[in-house]
This record gives sequence, structure tokens and C-alpha cells, in this order.
Amino acid sequence: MITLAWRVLGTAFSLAVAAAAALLWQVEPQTWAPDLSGFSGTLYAVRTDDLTVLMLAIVGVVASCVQVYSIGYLHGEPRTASYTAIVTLFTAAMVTVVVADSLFLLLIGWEVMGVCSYLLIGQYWERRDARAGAVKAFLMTRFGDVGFLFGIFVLGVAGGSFRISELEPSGSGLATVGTLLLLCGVVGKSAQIPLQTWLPDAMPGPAPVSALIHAATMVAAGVFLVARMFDVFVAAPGTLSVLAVIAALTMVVAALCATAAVEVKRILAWSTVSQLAVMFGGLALGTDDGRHAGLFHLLTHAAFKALLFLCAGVLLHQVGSATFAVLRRRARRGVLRKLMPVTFGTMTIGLAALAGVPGLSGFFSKDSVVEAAWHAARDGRGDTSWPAWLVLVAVLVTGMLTAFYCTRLWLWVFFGSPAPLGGLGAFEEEDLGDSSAVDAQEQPYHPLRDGSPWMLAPMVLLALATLVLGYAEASQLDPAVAGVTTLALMFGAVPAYSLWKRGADPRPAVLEREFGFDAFYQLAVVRPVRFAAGLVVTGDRDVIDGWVRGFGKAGTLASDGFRRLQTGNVQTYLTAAVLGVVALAVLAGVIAS
Amino acid sequence: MSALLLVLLGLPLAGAALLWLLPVVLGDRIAALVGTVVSGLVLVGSAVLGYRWLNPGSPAGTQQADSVPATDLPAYDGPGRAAAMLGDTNVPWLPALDVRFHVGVDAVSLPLIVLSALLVLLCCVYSLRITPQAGRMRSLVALLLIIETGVIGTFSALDLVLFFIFFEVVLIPMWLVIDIWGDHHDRAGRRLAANRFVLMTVLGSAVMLIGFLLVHAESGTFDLVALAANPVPGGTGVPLTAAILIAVGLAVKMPIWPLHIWLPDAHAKAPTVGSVLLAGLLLKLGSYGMVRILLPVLPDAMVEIAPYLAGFSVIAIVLGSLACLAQTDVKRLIAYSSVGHMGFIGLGIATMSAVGVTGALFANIAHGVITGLLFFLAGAIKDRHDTSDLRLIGRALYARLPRIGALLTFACLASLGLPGLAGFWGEMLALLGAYEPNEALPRATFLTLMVIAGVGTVLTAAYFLRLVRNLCQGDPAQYPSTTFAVDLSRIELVTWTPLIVLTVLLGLWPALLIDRWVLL
Amino acid sequence: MPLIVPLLLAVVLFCLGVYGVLARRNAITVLMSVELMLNAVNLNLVAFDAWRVDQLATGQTAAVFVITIAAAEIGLGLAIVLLLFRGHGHADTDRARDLVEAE
Repeated sequence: MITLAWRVLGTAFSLAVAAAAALLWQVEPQTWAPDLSGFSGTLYAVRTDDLTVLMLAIVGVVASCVQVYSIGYLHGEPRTASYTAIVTLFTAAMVTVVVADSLFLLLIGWEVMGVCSYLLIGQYWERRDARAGAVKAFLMTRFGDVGFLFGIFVLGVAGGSFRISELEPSGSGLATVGTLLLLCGVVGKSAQIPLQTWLPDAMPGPAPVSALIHAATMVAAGVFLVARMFDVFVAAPGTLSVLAVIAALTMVVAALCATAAVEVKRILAWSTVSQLAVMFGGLALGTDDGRHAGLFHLLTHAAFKALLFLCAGVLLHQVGSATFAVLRRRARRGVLRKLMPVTFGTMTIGLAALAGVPGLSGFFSKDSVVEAAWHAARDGRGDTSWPAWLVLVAVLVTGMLTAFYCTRLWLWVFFGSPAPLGGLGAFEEEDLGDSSAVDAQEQPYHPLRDGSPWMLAPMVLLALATLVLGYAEASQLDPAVAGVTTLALMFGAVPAYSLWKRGADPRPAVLEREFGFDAFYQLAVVRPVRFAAGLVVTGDRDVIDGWVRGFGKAGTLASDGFRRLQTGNVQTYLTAAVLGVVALAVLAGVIAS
Repeated sequence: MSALLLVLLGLPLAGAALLWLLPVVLGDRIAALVGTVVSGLVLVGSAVLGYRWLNPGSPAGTQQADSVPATDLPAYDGPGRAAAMLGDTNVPWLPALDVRFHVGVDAVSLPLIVLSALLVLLCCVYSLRITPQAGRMRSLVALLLIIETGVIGTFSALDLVLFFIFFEVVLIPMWLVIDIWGDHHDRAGRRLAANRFVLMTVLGSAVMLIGFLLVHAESGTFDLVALAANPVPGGTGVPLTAAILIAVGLAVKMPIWPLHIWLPDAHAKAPTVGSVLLAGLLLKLGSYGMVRILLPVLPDAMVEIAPYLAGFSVIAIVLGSLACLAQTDVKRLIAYSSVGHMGFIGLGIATMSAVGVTGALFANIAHGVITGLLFFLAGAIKDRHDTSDLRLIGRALYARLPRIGALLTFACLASLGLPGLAGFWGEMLALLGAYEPNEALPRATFLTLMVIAGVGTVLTAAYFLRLVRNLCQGDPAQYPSTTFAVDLSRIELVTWTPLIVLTVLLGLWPALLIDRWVLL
Repeated sequence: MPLIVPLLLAVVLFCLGVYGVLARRNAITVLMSVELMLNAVNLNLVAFDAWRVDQLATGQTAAVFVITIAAAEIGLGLAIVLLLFRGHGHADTDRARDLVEAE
């Protein structure tokens, strides 16, 4: 009963958000703050402009799809009422972020999203990887948010107001410091290097959660923030160059990690990190073109990545696991393809869009980023053009890698390998990858069906969006750029195909360990903190408490000392009295003289 | 209004006396009821006072604090200076010692008084159904009411010696509460915890009294209104000594590292209502004292000691958080988290700026509400498992006690300073104050401390999440439901709802309090 | 005779008495030493009285008081020593430590 009520409320709320986006479409960009003096006047300030409308549309549509999908996905599971409530709360928080004009209101929404992410990743708290992933996600983003808060301080105090609309872009060093600090929060929330390891570990959460939070909306909030405060970022010297370096590095590293992952959701997570970096690359160019391209990619990415996660969810739900090894037991004869056609079809569309196959939305949006980078590199002056060149090269390399892992995923999951068993690294019966805990849930072999209509309808909707959205910007396509990206696509897809044909999947150790970031953090952060904690407790017990006990002991010792004066011997007392009298007499004599 | 304030001070004492006059058997049965009625009346009275402050009928309430006196002292124009008090009563009391009975309230003390009344009321309501094993409810409720008098008296005292007297009033009742109604398994432990609490606090208060006497020697008066209008000048010699002594005395109460060692033991052994009042109210006496006495009366000396106070506060934040990470007892963990939160309050006070002190005052209220809720929850879990040791309680509380587990998660999130809940604004304003401290203070030091305190918030999140993970989450197959444990009972829901509502309300509408203290 | 002679004798007797009170073990001996001290004081008083002829004979009067008080006090003291002997079997001051602070 309660579950039903929450489901209705949640879906209605998401639809209302989408409707609000439609209503605000043609409204003039404006801000509004309540007419109160003091703190309230600045805290509740809100604004609307085309960026707000875009984000509201994304949030509303994806959240509605996810709410409907969850009806089918979490059917029969416990704790669905709280799940739906938290997803609705998350949606409200994201809406707060996108309409906020006050930096503090934005921060409230920003952190509430983080908490909802923590709670939802921990939905299956019976599992160890879910518990660990939830804590890791929250702590890493919280660490970034400390810098974010300090950035708000710097910019707000320097600018004289904590409202975004009242911040003047300035070229001072303080503006650079402030924007760099804001970047800390952005890097944490959007899982860029060096805070990127939480996103792949957030995958134990339910697939619709991954679709909503970790693909389409929350991680895109970082991109949104840079776009929202774009003028401030552009004016601050150096910040955008730093962002370009981070984006370029993350793009390539994440794509490389995706090529070696063996679980569908993990591949998609790394892919998300990489595509977010592409968006940041567009924004880091500092031009309006770049901003537009980044936001366009945000839009299309929301559609096809959410779609892909929902498809992965269907695979997980129906088969019981999303690791390549388990899926391949069903795929050897192309079973998955035949028994789950809708999933296969929509997933193909999604992967094609991600890889940048011409005609789909991902192709258009990626091309716009490449084009903007090319223009910025060509037009920029000496010292300002190297970030653009960096971004350009990185996006092209990433395009190749993206095509590689998309093709790899598509072929290995849905198609039986023509080569005989035994190719390098291929997914034999005993090769369970790194998700053996998940395999324990695998259903006993029974005929596979496609997902329920609750699950399939949103997927179809998102697939349609993926097909259609690109054409909103089709007119601005540059054929040369399109040719180059298509070439990159070929360079990525062909090796994947040939490896699959030979039945081989080489996964270099450095990529399987994901460049050792996690191990490094464990060694450099987690262990020293635990050690320090033990040290503090021991210090409290032995040192500080030692002082307190010492004081008490000193009192007791002094008391023992003075007790010894009571010897019980009368003559001792008399001797003391006589000495005292003599002393007094001498004293009296001295004073009198 | 003066009469109302005096009634608020005397009513709990009268209630305690009434309880002790009743015969034991009858007294034990109706004690919680009497306590509820009395503290309910006190809450209503303080709410009336608050209403009067917000909507003054007479000019006394509307006066903004007088402009800063024209001396060349560093301008401390933040909240705390005693001026334009509501409900002012000023009569001679001990003329030979120059002590007057001077009480009054203003925007700084009123929220704390309302908080005190609320927490004592909730403790009495809680005791209607949930009583400690040692029984003797008559005495327990009477002692709680005496503590209420002491706390409200401290918050409304405007004479230094009167402040000291009310400060000390709460000690013996609290000693008795911990010693008699504390952890019933560990007799020696509760005696030790109670002794340590009293002895350390009394030592601190004695030091503080010497400081008060030095202030009197320098300025000739004990009266806070007069002292606020004519602060004691000078940053060396006698004023500095006085400031250090008063700061040390109050630092024992707050508590500031390294004088915090009494708090974890006291909380671990105290009963539920004792812990709630100890954390929710008694710790506030220290920080209130700093805002009311140290800042306005000894501003020059405060400039000298503020960096040290800030340094120790930040050390408290970091070391308190690190200590929490290694705790295995729920109540000790929350006690150490209080050490960390009071560190933020200390940092806010040490910035000597309007923003920072406002943050400290807000954090006072927020900490009282949230930590009160946390200790209620810890008490509920402890009562159901007869232990507060995490290793013995087990895991997967979400499966065994889902509602309490969910509320515990909510309280932990509020306590770690999540924006949107009450805990955030105090910490944020304290950090903002550290970003721009008073002009007379070294900015570089405070910026460094601000960064360290920021890292401290991450550690805070870490240990609360560790608590939730090790207590609420986990594989339920290994920790089967205890069949006799009742999830959230009605009395617990009634008692905790006001705290939950306040947490969310103050989180989303902080201006309710902040606008009273400073306009940002 | 010069005044100094009886005074000196009194001092010597007094010091002997002090030594006896502080250092002798037997309780009776202690009492005897107390008597010696009192008698030394008496000698002192009488000597001064003789040296400075006084209408009220203050020194002699005081000496009579001292004799009386000494007699009363020795009666009491001997009774206590007797009880001590009866209870403990000895009259040794060093061994009478019943009022010592417990170890």
C-alpha cells in the first residue's frame, strides 16, 4: 500500500519536473528571491534559463523512466517503498541544484544527492560490495565537497554575494583559487581523476539507480556547475587549462580501464567517467561553442547511457549476473539475442550511439565537441591553444577506445564466438572475473525471457530519444570532422572484432588493476588513518588519561606521606611541639629586634 | 517578563522539592508525570519569553545592542554582549562581596533556554514509560529538575558570581545521576566516571572563579551588563591571566582537547536521560560562557588567546574524529563526536567575528538537538541489547530494528553536517568565520586551521558511516532477529519527533535563528 | 648570692627535664621528668621573687600554684600510666602506638 503510494507520488513528481521544463521553455531567463531581509533572502534564491530547462527536461524524463522501470525491476523485493522515496528525494535534490541561484541552496541539493546516492547504492546492504561501495562513494565526494565549500567561500566573499547571478567574472588570482576549489567538488561529484574510483565501485546498487544517478544526473551535476558558472570560470586564468588536463587524462585512462573490465555495468561505469571527461573537455575550451557542445553531449549521453544501464539491468535481472563469464554461458549459441530481442535491439542502439556510429545522437554530439576543439585549437593564440589541442587529441583517442570497448561488449555478450574455446583470456567456465559474489545469485538454468513491460517501455522510449535527439543539431555538422570521427570508430571497432573472431580477450594487468589508484589510496589514505585512529585512542588512554590518573595518584601519594606523621608515639609529637615553640620564639626575637 | 523569568528559575526547584516531600511509593509512581507537567510549564514560559523577544511590546526588547564603546579596543561587534536584556531583574544580594542577583535574557540565551526546557521535557516524557533498572524515579526526576534550574540560571545570569553559582548547581545532581542510575553492570566504572566528571569540572570552575575575581579586581564590578559596556582593556598582565583562567575553566566544560577525557567515560556510564542532558545542555554552558563572558568583557586578552583556542579546537575536531574511528562502544563514539562538534564551536568563537560566533551559537543549538536524538537512540539500542558494545550488539540492525536503524542513520547524517539538516549551518559559518576572522587575528593561522577543520569533516563522515555500516548493515543471516525486541515504541516516537522535526526545520530554515544574531 | 646561680640551676634542671620527657622510654620516668621541669620553674619563680622584693610576693604565690597543679596532674598522670600498664602489660612509650594512622 505504502509502496504503491510512493510509486505514484514518485512517478508523478518526475513527470511534473518534465512538465515544468516544458512550461519554462519559453520563459525569459530570470531570478527570483523571496522578499525577506537577512539570511533567508539570499538562501532561497532561484533562477531559470535555458540551461535550467535543459537539465529539468533531462532529470524529469530520465527519472520518470527510472521510476517506471523500477516497478518491474524491484518487483517482489523488500524495501521498495523506501527505495522509491529516496529516488524521489534525489530527484527533488537534483531539481534544487539546477534551479538554485544561491550557492548554499545549490550545495544543499548537491550534498543531498550524495546522500541519496549513498543510501541507494547501499540498497542491498546485505552484500559486502554494496556496503563498501556506498561508503567509498560518499567519502570521496565529501572530500571533494570540502574544496567546493571553500570555493564558495572564496568566490562569495570576494564577490560580495553568495548568489550566482551576482558574481562578477574577474581575472584576479582569488577568482582562480576559488574556481579551482570549486573544481575539487566537481571532480569528486563527476568522478574525474583523481577521485574517479568510486563510480565503478558504485555498481552494486540497483541498475535503475545506476542509470539515474551514476549516468544521467548526479554525475552530470559537475558538468552543469561549470556550465552554470561558465563566465566566472572563463575569466579566471588557468582554471580551464587545469580542467582540460584533467579531462584529457581522465578520458583516456577511463576508456582504457573499460577495455579490460569483465562486467557489463563496470564497463558502462568507466565509460560514463570517460564521456563525462569528454563533456568537461568541451567546456574546458572556454568558448561558447565548447560549452554548447559539452551540454549537447550531456543531453545525448543522458539518453543513451541511461538506456544502456537499464538494458544491463534487464540482463542482470533475468540472467542473474552481468559478468561476461556468466552471460556467455547463455550467449554461446546467441541465446540472449533471440530470447531477449527488445533488450538486444535497444542495447545495440545504445552502444552504437556511445561508440559514435553515424546517424545516432552520440555521433552528432561527439562531433560537435571535436569541432569545437578544432576551432578553439586553430583560432587560439599560442599559450591558450595547447589545452584545445590536448582535448582534441584526447577526444579522438577516446573515440577509438570507446568504439573498441563498445564493440567488445556487444560481441561478447550477444554473439557466440566463432573461434574454438581456449583463446587468450576468453571467458571459460572457470573464469569468473572479479564479480564472483554476484554469481552466487545466478538463477538455476531456466528459459530466459525478456524483461517485463514495465522495464521495456522506458528502454524503448530512451532508444527512440537516442535515435532522434541528434538531429536537433544535425545542421551544424562539419563533414570533415564527421569523416575523422568515423575513421576513429573504424580504428577502434575493427581490432575488437578481430580479437573476438579469434576468441581472445587480452586484458593487460595494469588495466585490470585500473592503474593501481585504489591500491594507492588504500595505502596512502586508509591505512594511515586507521593507524592514526588507533594511535589517538592509545594516546587518550595512556597519555592524557595517564596525566589525570597521575594527578589522582599524586594526591593519594601526598596523603600517604602526610599520614606518616601520625606515628602514634607521644614523644614524637612533643618533640615537634618543642621545636615549633623554639622556632616561634626565635622568630619573635628576630621580628622584635 | 521579569516575574516570568524568576518563575522559570524557581518552578523546577519547587517541582523537585514537591517530589521529595511526597512519600516514596507515591513519588516513584507519579514522578515522571510531575516532571512532565513542571517542565512543560517551563517550556511554555520560555516560549512566551521568546515570543516577547520577537514581538516586543516595550522598547526594551527592540533596542539593538549599543554601538561599540568608543575605545581603541579591537571592535568585537558580534553577538554576546549583554545589553538590552529582556526580563531584567537586578537586586542587591551580597553587598559585602559586591554580588547582585542580576538575571535577564537576550537573543543569545533565549534559544538555549528553550532548548533546555525542551530537552528536560522530553526526558521526563521518556521516563513516563521507560525507567532505568535502579528505579527511584522520584529522586531521578527531582535531580533532572534541579539540573534544569541550574542550566536556565546559568543562561540567564548577568552577574559573574551568580553565573558561577548556577554553573556549579548542576554538578552534584549530575554526579548522582551517573552514579546511581548509570550502567547497572559496572558499579566501579560508574563511580569512577562520575568522580572524574565532578573533579575535573570543579577544578576548572575553581580556576574560572579566580579569573572572575581578577576581572573584579581590574574593573571593580561583577555585573555583565556593566562589563560589556566597559570592557576590560589590556592584552597582557592581569587581564590576560584572567582570560586564560576563565578560558581554561570553560574549556574543561566544553570540553576542549586535552581536557576532554572525562566526557567519554561519563557518557558511557550515564543513563539515557543523563547522557541526553549532559551532551545537550551541560556542554553548552561552557561555550555560552565564552560567548557571554570572554568575548565581550576581555576582548584584547581574547585576541591573544584566540589562536590557541582555535588551534586546540581544531585538534579536538581531528583527534575526536580519529578516536571515533577506533571506538567499539556506541555511547563513547557519540561522546567523542561531541568533542569534535564542540571543536567547531570553539573555532567559531575563536574567530571573534560576527559570522563565526553566529555559527558557534547555531551549532550550539543544532548539536543539542542532534546529539540529544543520537543519545536517545543509543540508549534505546542499549536497553534492547543490555550492552552498548558494538561487538556484542551485532550487525544488520536494519533487519532487526528497521525503524530505529533508519532513525539512527538519519541522526548520523544530521550529525556529520549534511547540508539541508541542522548540523551544517553551524559548521559552515564557523569555517566561514575562520576564512575571515577578526582583523586583529593572524589570518594565515586561521586559514590553515580552516583547511584542517574541513578535512575533519570528512573524517566525521567516515566514522559515522562506519558506525552505520557496522551496526545497521550486514548480512542478516549471521545476526538473526531477536524476537523479543520491539522496534520503535510509541513513547519513543513521541519523544523523538520534536527533535527530528527541529533538525529538519533548522536545516531548511536556518534564518529562524541566524537572523536574530547577525544579518549576513 | 648572685641571681644567676639559682637561675642557672633552674635552666639545667629544666633541660634535664626536657630531655627526660622527650627521650626516656618508661612512662614513669617521663612523669618524673615533667615534675623536674615544674620544679625548675618553681626555682626560677622563687629566685626572681627573692631578687626583686615584691609586696604581693607574686613569685612565691605562683610557685604555690604550680606545686598544687603539679600534684593534681601527677595524680592524673599516674592513674593513666597505671591503666596503660594494666592494659598492655608494659609502661613503655615507644610500644604504646595504638593511635597510629593505619598502614
